[in-house]
Amino acid sequence: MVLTLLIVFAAPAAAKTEVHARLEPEVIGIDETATFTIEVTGDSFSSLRIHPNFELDNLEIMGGPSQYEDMRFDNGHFSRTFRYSWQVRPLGLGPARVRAISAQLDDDVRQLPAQEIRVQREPTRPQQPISGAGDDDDPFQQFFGRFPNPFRREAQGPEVFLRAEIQPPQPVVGQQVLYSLYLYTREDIAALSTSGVPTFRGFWVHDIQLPQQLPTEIVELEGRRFGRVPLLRKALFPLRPGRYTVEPATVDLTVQRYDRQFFFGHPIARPEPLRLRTESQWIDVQPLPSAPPEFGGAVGQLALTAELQPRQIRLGDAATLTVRLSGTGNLQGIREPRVSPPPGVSVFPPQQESSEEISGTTLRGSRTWRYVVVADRAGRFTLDTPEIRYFDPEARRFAVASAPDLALTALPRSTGAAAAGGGAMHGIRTAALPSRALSGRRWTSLLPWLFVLPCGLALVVTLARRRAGNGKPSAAGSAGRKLAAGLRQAEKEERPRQVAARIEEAWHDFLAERWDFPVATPPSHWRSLLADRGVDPETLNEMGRLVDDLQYLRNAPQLSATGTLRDETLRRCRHLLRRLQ
Amino acid sequence: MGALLAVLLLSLSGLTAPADPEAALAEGNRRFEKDETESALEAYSRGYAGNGSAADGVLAYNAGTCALRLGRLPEALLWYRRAETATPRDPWLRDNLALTRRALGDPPAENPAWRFWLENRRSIAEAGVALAWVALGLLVAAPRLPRGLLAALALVACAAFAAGTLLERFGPRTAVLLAACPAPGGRGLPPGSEVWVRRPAAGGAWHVIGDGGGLRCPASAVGLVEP
Repeated sequence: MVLTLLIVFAAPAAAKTEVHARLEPEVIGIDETATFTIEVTGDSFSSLRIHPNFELDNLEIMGGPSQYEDMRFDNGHFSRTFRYSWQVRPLGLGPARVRAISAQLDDDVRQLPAQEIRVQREPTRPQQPISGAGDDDDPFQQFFGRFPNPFRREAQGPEVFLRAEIQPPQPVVGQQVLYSLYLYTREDIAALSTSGVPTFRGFWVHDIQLPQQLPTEIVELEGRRFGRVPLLRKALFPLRPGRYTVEPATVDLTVQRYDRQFFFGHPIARPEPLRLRTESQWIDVQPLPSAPPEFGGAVGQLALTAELQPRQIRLGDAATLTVRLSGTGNLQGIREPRVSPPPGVSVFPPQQESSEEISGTTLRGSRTWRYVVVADRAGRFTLDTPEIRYFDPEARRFAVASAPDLALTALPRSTGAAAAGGGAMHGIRTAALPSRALSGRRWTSLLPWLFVLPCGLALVVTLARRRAGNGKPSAAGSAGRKLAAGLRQAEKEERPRQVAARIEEAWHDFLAERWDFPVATPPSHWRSLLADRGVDPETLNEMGRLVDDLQYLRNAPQLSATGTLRDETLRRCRHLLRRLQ
Repeated sequence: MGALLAVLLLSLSGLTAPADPEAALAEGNRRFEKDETESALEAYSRGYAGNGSAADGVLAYNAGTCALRLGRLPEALLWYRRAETATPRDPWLRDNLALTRRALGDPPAENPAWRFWLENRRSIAEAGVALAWVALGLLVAAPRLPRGLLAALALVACAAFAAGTLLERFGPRTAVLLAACPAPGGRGLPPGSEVWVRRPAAGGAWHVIGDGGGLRCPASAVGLVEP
């Protein structure tokens, strides 16, 4: 005993912990599951709880983790096992693996090798009944033998079926029939698609949109409660009497079923594909009773309204008669009602609009006809609004939709309009109107040319002037060049008095040639003479400053420093030359 | 390949070329007298070339009158609007156009904010042309005029001409809705609405601009006043 205790308490010092991972079986069918297990074994009393981590390829977790712990003391050796297990199922055919497996045990993180299995289309083991062989896993059954288990389901097919309902089953021609396809279920439905819909030959069909969230209601059938979901609704309108077959509808769906074979642990979900069909059905379309001659084929519950706007017009003006037929039923194919105008009134063929909408499960339609009504003479007229005969399937008799007659007052044309001849509806023209001017579109087509022409002419003028300037120098250009040459010579002089003399001489020649100044006009008169010739004040001021500079340079002492002033004067000269050239 | 395409386009344009306007007018009138309004409308529309000529105006007017008699009011309005571009002062046209609009219940006319510029785009281009001629005149007659003035004048002329021409070529067009143009929330436009439309770059539906902005109408529901 002492030895045992010594061993037990000495164990942590020599503690040895191993972590393993396994994924099994090695091959599974696409509809089967595998078990992924991480197992920790150790020989110490310290905790073996781990924090597992892993990633799945082509697999997804269906259940788990379930935990298992075992302690053994055999032949003086103590051992513990701690196991995590997950039920996984494949997502597709081919290899499936668990990778990046790690287990954190206190501060120790163990990396484990990836585990791989293969997924094949065929199952690897025969389908097991819900209760049966699997019961061997049940430890209670192994211990106590088989006994009735109230929680265990007996083997049976999924409780789900389709049913198509037709209402009414014996309609008359043109009456709305509602075809509804319902799914009744006591199972979880994972996926659903309608793969076959009847063709409804012999009917005009209008789809009835179902809401995004399908409305589910609970109904009781033979004492069992089912969820009922509408999958399809159509409004059918029989075109001819007779007995018509409605073919079966087919729906493919996946039912999520749960295996509760394990007494412990979570139930395992198992998807089960199914194809459901309805039975063929018949619709017995009854003919309409003997119809009155004015009957145009309208079946439903209809109402007619008529409106004349305005009710009082002047000769030449138009009123609009709006006739509107609306109600439940299919209004397609109803011809326009014939309006018989009284003498003195013209009614033009109508403009037609129609609309349809679903109200609950019933199709409501409306047809609107708008007639242009023109009075040919002044007076008070009564417009007989048309009547529309229809068959009321509820009352099983013909009825008439009508509206009260409408009064139209046509006043004589107003004096101004009569004088101008305006307001009346005119007939066609037999010849083109005389064209007095270029009409809009023709004029527009000429615009680019009319724009390009002055641009081209301006270009020609500018080029011609340039060419003339190059071949035979103009007076201004020639004078300018002479002045520029004179300024360059003045720039070479060193003494300020000679610089002033050169500049003054060059300006004399320029002003005489370009601006027709009298020869030897003194600089003091340059400003006033230029002013007489319309030169702008800024240039005149610049010229005044130049004259002052020349005066200073001419009278400057021989040895004084005038370099800066000379440069300034020459710069001013060139600036003025550009402005006066 | 390019040559083949050109030949194909030329042959297509030959196929769809309008008939001789005078012959179409005579043919339409003959059919109208025989009370064959539908075929008269076809004859008039075959002769319509959309070039703004006086014959075009009469053809469009007559086509509109036929459509009015047939009760096809939006179509009548479209033809009358087309006639209006060619012969805007025709008193008969004015009367029938007003009558058609009233018969349609005076449907809304979409007015974009820059309607003034759209409506006067031709005048803007014409102003550009006029300014170009003025600049040319000044260049010739007053050579000593400051160059900046002439340059500014030429620039304004170019800008006006370019703006007017670009709006004319690529800007929105006037149109009449031949069918209702529905939109979510009941913002749609009824048939006979007179709108400004812009074709999206990718083709297909027309964009309505103005108060009904954002509305897209199928090509079949839109009749362009100026093709």
